[in-house]
Amino acid sequence: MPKAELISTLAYGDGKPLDVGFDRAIANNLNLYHNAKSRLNAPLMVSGTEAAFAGLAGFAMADVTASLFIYPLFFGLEHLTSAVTRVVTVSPWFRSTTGATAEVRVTLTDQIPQPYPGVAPGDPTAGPLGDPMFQGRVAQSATWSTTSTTWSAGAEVELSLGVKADLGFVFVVIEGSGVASCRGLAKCHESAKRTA
Amino acid sequence: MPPIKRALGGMLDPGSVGGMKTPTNPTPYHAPPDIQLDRFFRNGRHPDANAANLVAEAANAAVVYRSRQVFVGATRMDSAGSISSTGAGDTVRWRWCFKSSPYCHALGGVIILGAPTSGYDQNTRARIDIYSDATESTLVTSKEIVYGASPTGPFSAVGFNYLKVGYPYIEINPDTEYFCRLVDVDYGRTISASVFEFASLTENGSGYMSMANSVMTPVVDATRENAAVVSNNLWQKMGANVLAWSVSNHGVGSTPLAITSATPSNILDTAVTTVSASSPGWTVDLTNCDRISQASGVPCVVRICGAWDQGASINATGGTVLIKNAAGATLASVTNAWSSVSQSWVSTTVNIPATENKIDIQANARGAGQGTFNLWAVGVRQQG
Repeated sequence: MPKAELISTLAYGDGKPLDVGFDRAIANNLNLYHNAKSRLNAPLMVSGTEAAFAGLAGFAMADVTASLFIYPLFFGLEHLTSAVTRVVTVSPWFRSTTGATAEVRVTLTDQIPQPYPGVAPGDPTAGPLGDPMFQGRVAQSATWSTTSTTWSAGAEVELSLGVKADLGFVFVVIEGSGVASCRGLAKCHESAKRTA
Repeated sequence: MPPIKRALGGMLDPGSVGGMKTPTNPTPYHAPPDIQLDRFFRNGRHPDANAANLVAEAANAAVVYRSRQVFVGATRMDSAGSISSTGAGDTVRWRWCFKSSPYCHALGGVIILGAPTSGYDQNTRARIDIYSDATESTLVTSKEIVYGASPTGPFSAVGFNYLKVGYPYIEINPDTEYFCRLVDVDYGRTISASVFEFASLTENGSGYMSMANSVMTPVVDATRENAAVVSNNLWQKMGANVLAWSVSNHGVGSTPLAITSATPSNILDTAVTTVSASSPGWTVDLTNCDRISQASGVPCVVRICGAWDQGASINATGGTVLIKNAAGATLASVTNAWSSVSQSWVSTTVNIPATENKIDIQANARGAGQGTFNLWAVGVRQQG
């Protein structure tokens, strides 16, 4: 695929020739802008001591998780269809604090989740933030696990951007089990258009 | 959320519409498939009205439907690591810098606010402040996002159901560099935020490119000129943001990252002083974001917000920040770049390879007792 190029002022104006090369370059630039230059890169990593990122003791992914982060991402007003789609590649930066199995789940959704109905709303130890219920049209999730106490990026996973709200944004929800420590997403980038 | 009309701007006065353009947006929202280059643009092909329409659609859509996010920030939301209400008045949470595109007419935002953890009866809120200068002295505009009083009275309200989402809309000028803060006001608690551009070809242009070309439409150079100008602006000034980091202050307000060591350390975890697979960093993908002439990679601008407190030392300047690749090589740096205890943004440039890259950012001062470097934010954007 040829790379993009700036278009010279020789391409237009009185007396300038109609040149298919310039037309092709403009079209190629536009294709590459949609598929490369405008793709969202939004890795989000938070700084500070690890005490701020450790999961909550006693929470395992199988029952109730602790929700660590929730934040919006804007992917543009473009509406994706069944014929033209995009995905988001995500990878969390995490580790196990003890060597026991630590799990992290990342979800894309178009609505703020609701708390698990069996949890007391006044529970200050993250009960109401545990095991969120995703009620949007579609929610895309991926889960990673590790027993390593060394920080690393989890394997890349693609999540469909079909969950994007009509106004262009998604909510990213990151949950972690009790021994998981997570600084956020080391990688989060949008793909080129994919044609079915 | 602002209505779509505001997002894309209003209709242009018909007398101001440029050649081969329309006063309103004719481009549907759906993502178009790629333009087939070999089908429409090769030697021997005649000018094709359909091809001109496809180019117009792609250009219009690129401007208004592929506008970019300029900042995202988040803090832990569970009670163990979440921020607390810091009291009456202003607490700066995050900072960022961006340059608006030539077609940008407003900023939009999605701001998630949490219930206060004290000051339960206060009108808690957040505010976005936008400055035009690197010392954040000249305020251009502000916009508040209101949470209000605690919904559960004098008790902490924890849970997704107590989060509120605000959608600020802020009119700004095109092609202008701005320096921004998100501030918690009067016990406010911002959990996370996304701020992005709205672009328009009527607010900042002479109209949208016409998609009504047909076999009877004259072949004029304005058709190509309109597309060429948009194409050049897209590639030079409208690349997606690369990364935006602002110091996270869990429960302590606006404290910057305070650095005294002369050894460069990772700004995400200052205990890490080397670059490796286990050092925290950002992985960004800039594949095909370079042009034919850009052999050194994708040109980017780096903006860094910091301050230098020389204390009792003789060092009038200080504060070094290094942008490093996965191999530990320095891609760009600023050295002893600050000279005041008041924060300011400094700038440098970097060429990032047009591939997937892991980027580590390190910072250092001049050594113990030699002054303190206070670091607030680092942003990297494509430009050039």
